[in-house]
Amino acid sequence: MEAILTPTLGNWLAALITLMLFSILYKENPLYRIAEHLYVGASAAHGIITTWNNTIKPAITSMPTKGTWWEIIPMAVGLLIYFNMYRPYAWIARIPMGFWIGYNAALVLSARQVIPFLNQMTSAIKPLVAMTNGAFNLTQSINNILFVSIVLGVLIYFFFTVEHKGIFKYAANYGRLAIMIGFGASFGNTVMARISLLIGRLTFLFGNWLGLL
Amino acid sequence: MPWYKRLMGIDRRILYVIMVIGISFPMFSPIGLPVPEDVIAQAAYDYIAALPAGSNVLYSYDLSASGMTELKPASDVFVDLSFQKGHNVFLMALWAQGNNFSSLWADPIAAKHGAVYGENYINLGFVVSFSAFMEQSRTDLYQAFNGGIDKNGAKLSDFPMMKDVTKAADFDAVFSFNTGDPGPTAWIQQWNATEGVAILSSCTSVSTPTMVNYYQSGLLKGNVGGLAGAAWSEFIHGTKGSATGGMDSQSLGHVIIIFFLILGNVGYFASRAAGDSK
Repeated sequence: MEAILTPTLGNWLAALITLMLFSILYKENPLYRIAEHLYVGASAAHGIITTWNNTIKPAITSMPTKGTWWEIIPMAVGLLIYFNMYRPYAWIARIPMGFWIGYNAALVLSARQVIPFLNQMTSAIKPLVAMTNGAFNLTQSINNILFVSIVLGVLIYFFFTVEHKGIFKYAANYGRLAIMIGFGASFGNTVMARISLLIGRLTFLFGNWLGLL
Repeated sequence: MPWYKRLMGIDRRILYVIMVIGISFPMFSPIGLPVPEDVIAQAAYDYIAALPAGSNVLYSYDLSASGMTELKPASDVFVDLSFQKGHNVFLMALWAQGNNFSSLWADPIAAKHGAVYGENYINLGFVVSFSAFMEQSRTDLYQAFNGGIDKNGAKLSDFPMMKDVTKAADFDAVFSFNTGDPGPTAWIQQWNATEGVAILSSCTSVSTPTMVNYYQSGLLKGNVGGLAGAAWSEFIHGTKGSATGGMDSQSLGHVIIIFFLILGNVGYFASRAAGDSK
């Protein structure tokens, strides 16, 4: 691959595919579809080759020296997944799938998964009167009051056992406002990420490809 | 046609062209806007900088190609910082595409510092099943890495820097460059929760709000969020990389979006005032 794709040819290929993908911004067209399918295909192929080279091939080649012949059993069980493609025996594919789901469910349900959750809960408990080196810290206190009140407001917003009337209504509205601000911040971050992607592509097109930068 | 209808009916392709021009402009004529301070990125930098020489720092490239622009600057800064501080640098990937980036991005920095492979740094390659890897690596790190081989297929036991590293707890910190899951969440749930290994992250802007939660609750020691966090990292590291250069474009892009948001809202409210909200 590297011998054929010289940097210049590689840059040209990457630039043309980038432009083909950008063409969707004008309107739907076959060039965009080709580029899209190329990306999906190349990503899948890359994943398969990497997995083969890094994991499967070393496992198979090391069997004679390590004597780990037992690894054939999980490999064979894993291959049963392909029965999914043959309808009369598709049920056999449920065996490796069952192992996989059971294994991951056990990992997720283990007690250690609770620790990060507990950490986040305990960190939500903050002093409303914050002290720094024995002195009252106004900024931190306001920050903590805001933090705690927003946590309570959002929790009340999602608390449906009690009808949102009276003080609950105000608290839930406050919580909803906080959620909307949170979504706004998330949207801002998403915009930033998308602009970053565009910056990356434009830098490539103007710099690496056209040599203008 | 009333003016507000024209305002609301601007062809989106015109907006795209204006956006591209706006973002491209600073690439040819940098504005030099100041880089805003990022305390969480600063915390990540300070944490890595404070680790003594000989510390084992694992850099995990848990990303796809979409994260190149935002994550490469952070990788450049932090891997460079680790080599400066004399850390033992370990590279790996929980994502297949990350396996390429670990070498592409870190190897030139290792070469710049004259680092010797296997003595100062090592690439442990890509692991397919992150959940199985993290579980097994708690007690048997060698076996967890594809049966005890590095990215190039060489035996881990042959490398001097691997002699004292046999389990997860032997690492002083894990730094995940990530575009999603598996990433910091998996590292926190497995290596931090049970082994107490410090976890740090460099994520895309989309994931930044989640990482801020982790940082505030002490689960992350620091996080470099998107291009803005990377630009601050470059600033405190004393380098001017692609993140610093990209921030002008980033800021101008936001100004254009805000401008069009205001225009759209003016059109919307004007149409409502005219009794023509449809």
